[in-house]
Amino acid sequence: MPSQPVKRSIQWGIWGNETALLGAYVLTIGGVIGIVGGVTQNFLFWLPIGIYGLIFGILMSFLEYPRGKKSKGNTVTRWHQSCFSSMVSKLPVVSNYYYRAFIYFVVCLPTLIIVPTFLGSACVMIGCGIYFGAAAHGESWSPVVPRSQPQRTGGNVSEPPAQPPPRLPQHTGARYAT
Amino acid sequence: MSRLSGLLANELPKYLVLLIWLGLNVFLFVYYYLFYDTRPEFFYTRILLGPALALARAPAACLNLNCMLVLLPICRNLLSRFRRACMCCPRRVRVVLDKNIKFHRLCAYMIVLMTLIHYYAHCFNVDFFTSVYRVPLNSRNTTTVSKLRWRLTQIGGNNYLNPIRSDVWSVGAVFLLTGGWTGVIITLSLFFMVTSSVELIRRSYFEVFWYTHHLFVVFYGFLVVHGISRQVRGQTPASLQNHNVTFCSQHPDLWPNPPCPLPVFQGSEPMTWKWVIAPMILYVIERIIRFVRFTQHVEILKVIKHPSRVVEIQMRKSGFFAEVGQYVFIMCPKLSNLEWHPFTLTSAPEENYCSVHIRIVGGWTSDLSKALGADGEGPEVLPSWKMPRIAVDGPFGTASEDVFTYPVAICVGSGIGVTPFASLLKSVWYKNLNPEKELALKKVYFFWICPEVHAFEWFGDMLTHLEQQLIETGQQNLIEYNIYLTRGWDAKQAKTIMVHEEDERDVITGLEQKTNYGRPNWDDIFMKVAQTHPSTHVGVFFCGVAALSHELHRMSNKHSGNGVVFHYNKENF
Repeated sequence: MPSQPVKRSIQWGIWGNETALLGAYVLTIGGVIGIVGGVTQNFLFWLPIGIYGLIFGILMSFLEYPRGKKSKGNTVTRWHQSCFSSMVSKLPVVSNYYYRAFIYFVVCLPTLIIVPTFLGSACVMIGCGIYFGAAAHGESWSPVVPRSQPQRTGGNVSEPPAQPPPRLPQHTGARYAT
Repeated sequence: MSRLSGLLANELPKYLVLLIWLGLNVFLFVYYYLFYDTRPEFFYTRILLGPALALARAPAACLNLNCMLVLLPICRNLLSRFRRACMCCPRRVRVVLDKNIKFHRLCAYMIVLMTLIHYYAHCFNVDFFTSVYRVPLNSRNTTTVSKLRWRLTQIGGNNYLNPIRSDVWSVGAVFLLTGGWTGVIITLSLFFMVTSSVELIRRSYFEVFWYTHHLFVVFYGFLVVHGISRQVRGQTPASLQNHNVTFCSQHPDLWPNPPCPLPVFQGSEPMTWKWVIAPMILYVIERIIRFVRFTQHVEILKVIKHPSRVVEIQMRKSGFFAEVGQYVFIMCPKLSNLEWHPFTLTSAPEENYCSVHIRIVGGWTSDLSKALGADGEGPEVLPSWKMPRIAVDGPFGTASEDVFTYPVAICVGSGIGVTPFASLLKSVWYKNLNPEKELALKKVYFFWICPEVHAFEWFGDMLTHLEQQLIETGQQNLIEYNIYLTRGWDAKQAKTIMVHEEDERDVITGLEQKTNYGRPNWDDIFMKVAQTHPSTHVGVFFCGVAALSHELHRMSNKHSGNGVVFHYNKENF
């Protein structure tokens, strides 16, 4: 029990990650729609920008999929994120949110010129904004390392209870003294 | 067979609502798809836009429905009113009302899905509209369809079909159209709301979720004006009379001479506001009720400090009446005008005050304890004339109001989830004192599952008090309580437990009922209850962690049968 209550501070990078990931999904779908429209209707720029949006949408989803570590408490990881996490953490500059925000922003600029990828890139840019704020607060990304067995030394709580409780068996029907 | 009665009691109403909702969505989608895909007035619109017209309009109809529904489950005051008015209708109906937040989320998911379809279909529409200008009518491009498209886009004045009247880039066209730029704003505010409502953000940084969710004002504001400039256009009935589309569409060269005068188009009437205006008004009423509650005077009667940083506030408010297990939202203007925090009432309806127990764990609660003067070492707090003003919104109903309608009740509280049962147990006792009205409720099995009793001493005290009162009136059998301590104990505790094994009172809680260690064996418990009370409806009430909730839900279904029906009810925070 902490004797003093802790004041919670918001870790903006976590929200930025959710925003950028969802934005990347929208961008990916937009890329597919762009390709479909470009092939079937021959709309101007839909095919090349659609392919571009699809590729970078998938790349961004891959980069954003592993959640960063929360500074406090346990981080709830995404489904099977550990292998993505280990791959992403090997890449350079991923931990710096300034770079992340800047690179995403630049990557998204071309996709603003056709309507199907417009929404996706606007969403990713919002994510960039939040990442920028996170970086300004001095946050950075670090991978969630798989939790090792909790080692509780110190404190006098023995855990888990290795011995049966100091009690008569529960279901023998024996009643206690009343 | 034995599972069937449990399923009927616990699952049927929920799935019925789900089915009706899904059915409505499917119906609207199919109806409006066929409407725009087959009606003759949209024949020329389809020449320009193809199936993208119907694909954009069908989700729009579903969006109207869901934008209407999504507001209803969050009007907590109105839901609470409705629930009280509905006291006479079957409890199965009322149980569905407890799923309000789930339904809100479901509608939101549907809104997201439909928004995506609507948006991507309109991507095609915008490019269809703009690209007609970029395909000039030359000697190589003289198919009937391209001639027809060219003719259609040339219609000017107020009878136009193509809302884009100049050669612009498609992204630019989005911002020229009222439906376009409002759509971008609506979608982006929806996107903000969705990303901040992810469970991780809600649980970790509630403020982010809470503040961004207020973008719904922007969302609804622009939603109402989204269709105002009538950009979805169809041929007028009068024009359909003198302009035969099947003939004239084959002969665009004849236009505009008889028998093919220029067709006249008009925009469809904006529909969205008709759908959302009623729930918007309801929501405004809801906010007004909250505001009135905010201005009402609340008298703080007493502030009691309990061990483990728990503060009890006893207060009184005129016209305030709460049922058991209800909760209120508390706001302290001295700390923040925006933050309303939910707390379960721990006083019984029979008591002449209402009380909440507040555990000092976060920023707001510790500020509150400071404001009440309860942060000092001793037991003294600020004198009552110095107390800060607080506002109370509520009470809001939850499932445990129904506990008195069952002859037997199993109440399970885990961890902090015991709080609603404080008022419940007290009320059971109070109601039993009244000899004139015989209570339907004959037996309460209360289970308290807790990693450590630490921090809940106040609840233990309350139980001790209740135990004494029950013995005095000779009603020991009314409430049977079981306490399960799930976390480990230290060596010293183990020794004390051993030594005091034969004592009359439990060493940890000081209660006559001995504490159990480890987790309860629910299969066993449910089986025993079913055997002891054959052919009865048993209410199962739970408040606490989700994993246990699922297990109890499963148990309720599993052990229903042979006349015994376990009705599962869950409190939600």
